[in-house]
Amino acid sequence: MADITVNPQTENPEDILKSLTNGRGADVVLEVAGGTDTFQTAWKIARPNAIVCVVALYEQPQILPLPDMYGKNLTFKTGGVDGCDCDAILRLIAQGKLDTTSLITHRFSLANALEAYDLFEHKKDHVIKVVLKP
Amino acid sequence: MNEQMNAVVYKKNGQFVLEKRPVPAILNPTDAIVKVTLTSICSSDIHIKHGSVPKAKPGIIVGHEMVGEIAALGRDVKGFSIKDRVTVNVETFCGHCFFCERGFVNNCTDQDGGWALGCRIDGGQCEYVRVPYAENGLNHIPDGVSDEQAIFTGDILSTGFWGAKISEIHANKRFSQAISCPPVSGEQKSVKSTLAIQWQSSVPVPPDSALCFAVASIIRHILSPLIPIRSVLPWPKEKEWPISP
Repeated sequence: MADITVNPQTENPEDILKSLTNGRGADVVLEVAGGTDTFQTAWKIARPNAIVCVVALYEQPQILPLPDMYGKNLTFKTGGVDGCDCDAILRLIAQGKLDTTSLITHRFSLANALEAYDLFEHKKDHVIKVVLKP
Repeated sequence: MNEQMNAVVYKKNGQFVLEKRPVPAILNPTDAIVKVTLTSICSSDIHIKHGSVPKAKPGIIVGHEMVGEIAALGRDVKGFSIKDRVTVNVETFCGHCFFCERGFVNNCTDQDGGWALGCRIDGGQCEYVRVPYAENGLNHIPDGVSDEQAIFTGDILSTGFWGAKISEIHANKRFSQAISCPPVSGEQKSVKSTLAIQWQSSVPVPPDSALCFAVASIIRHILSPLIPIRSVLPWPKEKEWPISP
């Protein structure tokens, strides 16, 4: 799903983005993680006049450092999904163009839901997505 | 239909429990009852558990991403039949208010509008779920598509699709912008759109990796192979993942 991966614990995303884009930065940034510092990285790796789309749900308020970003002329888009494209998505799945089954790393019966929650919440056993079967 | 069913319930801040709950019934003519055949746990459920979703009501059944079979239909629901296999949309929308008419269904002004299922009204981590405005909130699963293939349609894949849409990642538009730019290093092929998807905080807090993947899949589909695209997904080496809190 990705051409390039960056691990921000060992690499600097801002430098890598610049090196990939002749020093400009990303045309579009989607902030999906919702971590404690991910919003800051999102606007920093964007090029001037980029769109920064904040999809993430945060547990804490985030700071918009306007003096630091003055002149960068970014467009921020935020919010919760306007979910009305399900038929289009299902068509892509039926055509084999979209396959997210590999995200399902764990399967539980509904009766064992609390065990599933413990695993998911504490990110045990390399979990990505848990499904429950009633 | 059984009288009682298993359900995951948001009891109070910090506590989810497995309880027996009555099987839901049709309340409005636009409702459907869906027999849940597969449901998922989302990081938003964890946010609810921790009290970070102010609209979430204690006592509700959680779960907002599920697929199933129609078990009962209100008299006004058209286009669906009993036993149809369906995905359930995370959002309930009336389809005719100011926001719905503009496609902004997240802000549907109906009392059940927006993210209601598994947040403000009973959701789908149970055996049967009542879906208000079923004609808008249900979609048929095409033949040959399994529950596991369809399960993420109503939430994380919808979010990816929407995120790509509002980010104005439309292949044609960005492509024309890309080719109308002066070549950066003398070659047209060097003009590339670069897409960054931020993956992980440098502070050790695990993000919702599934949502990141889903957004990446959608963008990958919408863009490739129309434009040369580099996506940047910070993905730690396997042995560094996950980071325990």
